[in-house]
Amino acid sequence: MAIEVTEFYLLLSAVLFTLGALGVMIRSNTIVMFMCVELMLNAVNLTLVTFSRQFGEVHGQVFVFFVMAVAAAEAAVGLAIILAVFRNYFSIQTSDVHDLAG
Amino acid sequence: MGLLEQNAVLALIPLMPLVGACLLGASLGGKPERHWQSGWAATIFSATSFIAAISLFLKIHGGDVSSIQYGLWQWFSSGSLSVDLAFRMDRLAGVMTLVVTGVGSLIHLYAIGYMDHDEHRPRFFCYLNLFLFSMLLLVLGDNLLVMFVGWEGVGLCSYLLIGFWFKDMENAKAGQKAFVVNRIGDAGFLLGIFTIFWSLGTFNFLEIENQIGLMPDYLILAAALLMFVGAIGKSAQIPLYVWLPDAMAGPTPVSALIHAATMVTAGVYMITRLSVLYLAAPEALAVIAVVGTATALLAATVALAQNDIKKVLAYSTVSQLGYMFMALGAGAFSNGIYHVVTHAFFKACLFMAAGSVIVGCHHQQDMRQFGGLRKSMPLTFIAYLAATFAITGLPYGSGFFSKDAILWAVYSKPIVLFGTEIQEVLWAIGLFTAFLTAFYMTRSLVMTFFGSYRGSEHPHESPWTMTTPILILAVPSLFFGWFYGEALLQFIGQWGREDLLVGHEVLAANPTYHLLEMISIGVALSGVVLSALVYGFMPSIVGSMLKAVALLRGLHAALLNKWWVDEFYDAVIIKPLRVFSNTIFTVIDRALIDGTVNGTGMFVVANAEVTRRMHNGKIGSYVMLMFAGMLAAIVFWIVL
Repeated sequence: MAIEVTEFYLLLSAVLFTLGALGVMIRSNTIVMFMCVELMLNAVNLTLVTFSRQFGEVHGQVFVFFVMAVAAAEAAVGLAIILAVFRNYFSIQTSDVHDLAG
Repeated sequence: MGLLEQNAVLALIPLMPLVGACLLGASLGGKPERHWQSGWAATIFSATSFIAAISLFLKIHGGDVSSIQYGLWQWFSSGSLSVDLAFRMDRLAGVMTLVVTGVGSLIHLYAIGYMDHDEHRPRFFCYLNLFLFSMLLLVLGDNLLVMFVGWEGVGLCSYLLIGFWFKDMENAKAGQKAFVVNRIGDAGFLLGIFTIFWSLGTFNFLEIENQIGLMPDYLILAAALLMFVGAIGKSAQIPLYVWLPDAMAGPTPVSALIHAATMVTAGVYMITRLSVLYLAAPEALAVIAVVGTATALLAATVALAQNDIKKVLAYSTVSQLGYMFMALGAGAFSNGIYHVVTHAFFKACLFMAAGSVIVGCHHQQDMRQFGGLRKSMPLTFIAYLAATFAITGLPYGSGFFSKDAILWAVYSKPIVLFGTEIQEVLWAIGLFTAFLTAFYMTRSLVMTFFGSYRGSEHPHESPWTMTTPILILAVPSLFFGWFYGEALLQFIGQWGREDLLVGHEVLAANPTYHLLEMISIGVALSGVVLSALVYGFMPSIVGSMLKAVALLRGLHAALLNKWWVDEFYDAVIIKPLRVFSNTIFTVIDRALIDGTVNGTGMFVVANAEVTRRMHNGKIGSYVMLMFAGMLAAIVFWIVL
């Protein structure tokens, strides 16, 4: 029974990760892209927790805490960047920010 | 005066003209109405140097000291080597210094008149003083490196002064030619210095003289020949003499000072200075004798047909320099210096007189446009006559004594080249050259001062600043050999052969010497008389003879075109060098080096044209590429 639960969570995590990745690739609103990145991070967290439960070890769960801490820092930096972009371009759409187009 | 101060005067001799050059250089751009001062300033600095030279020379002459030394400071040191900026005046250097500063001062005075209306007078006198400084450095330097600095300095000043009127392209080219040809010789000179240093580890003349026995024979020969290459360049010998006739493009005082009296004799002086080296290499002496004789003959033949008065004197100078090298080749170094001194007198006098004629005839140099000038320019005529008398070798002129001393030296010394004794051949060629000398000099005298005036402008006598130096130099041209010749030979006699120092009286008792002297007088007289007859009384005979005899016509064309030596060099050296350089330029530089550099750039640009399309500025596509990359990496990792 335990194996099916693991499979279910891994599947869920894969779906979440794919959604996140697709969101980053497709959407042009930076805040949405940002949330999608968070989604991907949490999908990975879910995987780590799942394996941690499966093998009865705490390493995975410890790692999740690190990821969450880093994600919090990343959120601060990322939001600051978005704010700075908005101040310069009066937009947070990536389609409006293309100065480095070759 | 204490010993220290007395020796410090030695450093003053070269420094005075240097100070003059610096001051005149600083005055460039001054008011034109003050330009007349520059010539007088330069003359005063030069004359001060002359007076200092006399005061020291008298000390050596009086026998108080054999040489005077003064070191300014240590120039540089490296390991065990230490080179000083030091001067030394011994008998040889003393005589040369007197000639350089004495004749130099007179020429400075002359230049005041000659350059009277030139708007760049300060620049001219600045160069002239700088030249004097370099020449004195060359003469007074107590080691090879100081001499080399002077050697290069006179070359630079020669270049600057030949091209003084550089707005005329021909003058600028003549200056360049002189510089480039001299560089060839300088390379040899430098290699010679290196050879001596490599072998003995010193540049100092005294140390070289003392340690010459330590040098292996083959190195002595190599050094002697390499140094002679330097002398060939500076003193205009075959094959590097071609620059000197072209150097006549410069102002006439320059021709008199640099290209007759002083700089061109630097090679003779240098070889005499290193006579110890040359006496140890008889093969090198034989080479010098042959080169000198060949140059004397070749230049004298060319001088026969030239119509430009300065060209005649230029080839005459090359020819006389050939005589000096004959003397050196015969081991008679002091005789060579003797001829340097007398030649400085009469050739500087001739050049300045020619310059006076050129100015008097409104910058006409073609002798066919002169004639009868003895009436309108009597002072110049007297000086030219005296100097011509001296150079033709008529009895008791100064050239008579010094030239005869050289011919006797050559005749009485076995000169062996490739196992055969050639001294009699060299002597005969020297004698024939003496005939040619008498002929072409009389020709120039007659064409310029006798007959009737053929030009269009009205000729006039030159100002006193020009005639005075000419007349002053005419005196030693006539009488120096008679009164001081033997004294001079005895005085500088520590160089070269003892057997020549017995004096004219003793030599004249030798029947062979007496006979040769009579032959030489006869040859000179016949040259003068023949030339005077042809050009003085039957000027048309030359034309009709040329018309009648095809062989003479061909010879005349060859002489007029200087044996086509310049054309020969052009075809054999300059053109191939041009083609070679051009090939190197197009193949190596343009195709290979530029191709590589530009190709790299073009490759990057072409690549960027493709890859820049990936930077479309859309973050989504970047992310997509990133994911694709990661996916590819994972797949790659799993599959392998």
